[in-house]
Amino acid sequence: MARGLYVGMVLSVFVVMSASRVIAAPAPIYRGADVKFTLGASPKESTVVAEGFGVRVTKRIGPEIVKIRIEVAKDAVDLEANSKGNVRLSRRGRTLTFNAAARDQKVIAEARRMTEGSSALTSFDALITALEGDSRAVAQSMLTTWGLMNALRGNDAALLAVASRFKAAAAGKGPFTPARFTIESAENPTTCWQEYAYSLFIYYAEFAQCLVDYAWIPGMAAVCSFEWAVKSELAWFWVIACSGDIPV
Amino acid sequence: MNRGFWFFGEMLAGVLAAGAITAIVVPLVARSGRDPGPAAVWITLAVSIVLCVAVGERLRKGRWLS
Repeated sequence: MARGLYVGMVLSVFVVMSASRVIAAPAPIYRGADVKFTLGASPKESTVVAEGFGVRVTKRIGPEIVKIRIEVAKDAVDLEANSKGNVRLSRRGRTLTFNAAARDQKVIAEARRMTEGSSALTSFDALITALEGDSRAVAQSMLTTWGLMNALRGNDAALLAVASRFKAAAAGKGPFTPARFTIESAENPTTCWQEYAYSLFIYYAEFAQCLVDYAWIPGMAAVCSFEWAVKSELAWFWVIACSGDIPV
Repeated sequence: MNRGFWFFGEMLAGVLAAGAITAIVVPLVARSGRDPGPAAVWITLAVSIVLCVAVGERLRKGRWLS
């Protein structure tokens, strides 16, 4: 039996080697209906890029600062905000620096004037409209960005809309699902894999954040690892069932 | 010990090990902008089960666990 298993192992290695062509092909992490999301990370920051409706929104999130760039072909708006509430808004060579916590009406009016007629922000509005009802973390991240941008321009109605969307999403949340599967009508190995890979990436980020937040408490690193391991294994069983078309 | 239990344990260990491997490897591969694709599920599962059964059988036949 052992000899047969060794032959099986050698064959499996050949299969893995032939699959390297699949691995070498670059592909996005997740592609929704009209908006493509790409996730990235480095030791210092996480990156979310949303592309759709001609606009590209890049969000780089570090431990103390978030940097957002909203760009279309001929227009770009840059926004930097740190944990102390200091904000830097830039467009067409003009920069406005202020503290968002102060809510100074003069500054808000200046920010509104600076971003008036921005095609980048108009396209961003269209992108957010397309994400209506999307409960994925990446979509909600874009929604908060949109809310922040509108709040800085004095549009509190948009901020209230964001709050109501989050409230609706929270109300509709059911029990924990190991992998965030949203495309119920098109279940096939590719969509199963995309959801699985996306979920794993989120769990990995949550695990890293958990270590940053709680590792100083004795034993909490082990708790973080345990939580990550359980979630990952549940997602693994889910993707096996999903890929094999097993109803679960 | 019953050979059937051993084999079941080996298979289960293989499935769990495959899950642990992908939990580590997939985010790292995704960070580099690549996507292993859905075939990786079955390849990882097959390789992991084969390895776990091979190691398990060696342990079972080994003097110190028999």
